[in-house]
Amino acid sequence: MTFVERRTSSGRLERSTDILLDVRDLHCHFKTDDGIVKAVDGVTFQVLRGESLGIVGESGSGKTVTNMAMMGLVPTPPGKVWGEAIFDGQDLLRLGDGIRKIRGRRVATIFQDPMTSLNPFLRIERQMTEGLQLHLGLSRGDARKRAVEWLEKVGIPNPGKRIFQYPHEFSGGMRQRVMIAMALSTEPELLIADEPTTALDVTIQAQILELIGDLQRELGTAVIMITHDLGVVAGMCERVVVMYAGRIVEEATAPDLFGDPAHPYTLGLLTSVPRLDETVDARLIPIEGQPPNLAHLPEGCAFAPRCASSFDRCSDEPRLEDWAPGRRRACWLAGKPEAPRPVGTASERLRGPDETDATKPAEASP
Amino acid sequence: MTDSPNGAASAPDAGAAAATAAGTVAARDLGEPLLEVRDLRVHFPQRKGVIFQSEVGTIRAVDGVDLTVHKGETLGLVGESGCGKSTTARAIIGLTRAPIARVTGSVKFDGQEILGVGGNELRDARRSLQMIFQDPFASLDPRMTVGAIVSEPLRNFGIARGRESEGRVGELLETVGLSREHALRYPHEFSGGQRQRIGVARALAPEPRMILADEPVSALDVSIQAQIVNLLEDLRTRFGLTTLFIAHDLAIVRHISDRVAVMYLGTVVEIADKVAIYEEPLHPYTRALLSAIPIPDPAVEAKRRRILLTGDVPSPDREYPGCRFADRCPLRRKLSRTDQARCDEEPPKLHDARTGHAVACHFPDESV
Repeated sequence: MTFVERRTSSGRLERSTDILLDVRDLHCHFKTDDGIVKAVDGVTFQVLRGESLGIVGESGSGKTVTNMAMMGLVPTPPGKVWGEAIFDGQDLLRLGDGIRKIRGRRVATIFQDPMTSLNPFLRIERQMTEGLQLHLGLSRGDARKRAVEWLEKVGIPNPGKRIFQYPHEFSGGMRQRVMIAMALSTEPELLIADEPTTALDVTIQAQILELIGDLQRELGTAVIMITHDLGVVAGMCERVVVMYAGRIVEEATAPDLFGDPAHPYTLGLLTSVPRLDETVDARLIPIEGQPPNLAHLPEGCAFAPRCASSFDRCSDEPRLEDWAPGRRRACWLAGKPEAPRPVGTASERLRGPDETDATKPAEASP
Repeated sequence: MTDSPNGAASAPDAGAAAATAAGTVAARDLGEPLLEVRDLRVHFPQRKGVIFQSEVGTIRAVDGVDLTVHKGETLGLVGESGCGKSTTARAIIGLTRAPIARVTGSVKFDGQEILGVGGNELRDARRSLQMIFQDPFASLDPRMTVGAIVSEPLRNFGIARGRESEGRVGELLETVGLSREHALRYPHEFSGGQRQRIGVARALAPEPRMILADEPVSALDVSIQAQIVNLLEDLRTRFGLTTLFIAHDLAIVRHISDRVAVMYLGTVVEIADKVAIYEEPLHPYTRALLSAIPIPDPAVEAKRRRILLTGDVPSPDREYPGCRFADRCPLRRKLSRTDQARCDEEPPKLHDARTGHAVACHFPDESV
């Protein structure tokens, strides 16, 4: 029996078998002139009913392709998709056209750019009622009534009038609200939000994230939040998977992941971004090197060439294995990764070792 | 960074920590001003028609900006998209000018007026004021080798030619963490982070006194951003560069700046030492902006209170009789009728509400 361990609000670990989506060994490869690009290469994770799961990674880590491959949105060829994505007992990858009954109805997606996800030639009304008529069998009039209700719910002022406008008459934040209304109006069990706020300003981002969180609590919808922004995940998600070069490198509850990262890549991500609440001018510790070319991945662990703790064993590929209760990681290290020490502030480093006490950690208080 | 390259006496980290702990900022000796921007306005006339063009409106992208950047300091300029921060930088350096835009006001560099000048004066100004652009893919000519890109300013300003120029390009590439051999390659052979290094090398070539960095890391991957931020910090210390650092990422701005200016709809609404801005913001917009930024720590996130703004940033195509932020302001709603009228009718001036902490709000002491 598959189960997922997660932390309750009191911090206790509990096991749940109420799995809504069970993704097993999902692959998505693309044939290109440059060779086979392994965009998603054996990804396994579960989503529980009503929970929010974050998928974090940089561009090219495979987080978006994972979503597209599950939902049958990858064109084949050039793509090739295999593995399993079992949604409520049905394997999405083997449904063929039958997936249309699930996509948009029981699983809805919000994409990054609301302008390109909406049809510029159709009024919002037509775009919203189409799905409602198709999936719920409502009449045009009932569908319109429901669409207006949803526009109101997501905070669009004067929805009865605005529903007859075209997408270009809405601002970026308002368009994303329309997308959310459209996605949730069929009351799906799973909402996949793929970088829903990346194209928006921070004050608008805060509005949209708050809205998604409120609706999730109200409707009990499970959410997969795909993002590169660790801050968004910290505020929104109960559990997090971290992707690198098409694979999951770490999975944990959000407090565990941020408080005690188990994979050197996760740790690197956390130490390389400055925090808004930082009070010490510690030097940032970047992850050296570049993300790998997915057509020419290094042998073994894909992160090893950039990893501060890599050793000879890293030339074998590590598998994603249980590491602690409720946590998995793909790393050969015996213990936790050691935090790379800051090399001192910019000025100290350039002044040279003769003038600086190199053994004194940067955060020592005066 | 609190240590200014010319202030050898400052004890860098200790000073910053002490200032934070006390919650107040001792008035730091800011030094001499290098760049002074006064009442800068950049208006883009909206025209209609092909032959008989008529003006149908004006986009007031920058509408009365006052800024001073002191020698050796890094001033962070933050704001959301469309607030005019990039246009400000482009107008300062003379990239946005007539006839596309009406640029008025004054920009003094080291005491010399550089706004609207041409010929030799403009050349001199551009030599000492260099820009780093946001998009490392669009800002490098794909048909030029890296060597040609970096040596172009050397040639243009008559700094070095031939063998000498080659040697200088090699040095510059090494300075930014690339190698001499890269001079023979083309931009497409490099990743985003490396391209941004090339852009930095080009900016450093004419030995500028000041750098305008316009969102230099926002197009880069998270793991690469820190590399470029560290590079900029190193260069600044090494060459004593003065920097105007424009970004929408407030965490990076906090990390890299000495002082921070916040822009909203074409004007500066608050400017102060970074500790003051982040620990004790006075303008309701700054407070909302800071509270909206997610912090990568679930424990901190759970305890934070967000000030949610309603609505969107309004269009800069009209004049505002009062405060531009009034219709979205969470503070205005709590004020009395007469005070609200003041927000709506009287434009707030950027004034010192605390020592060295200027804010454009009539009621900076009210809590939101």
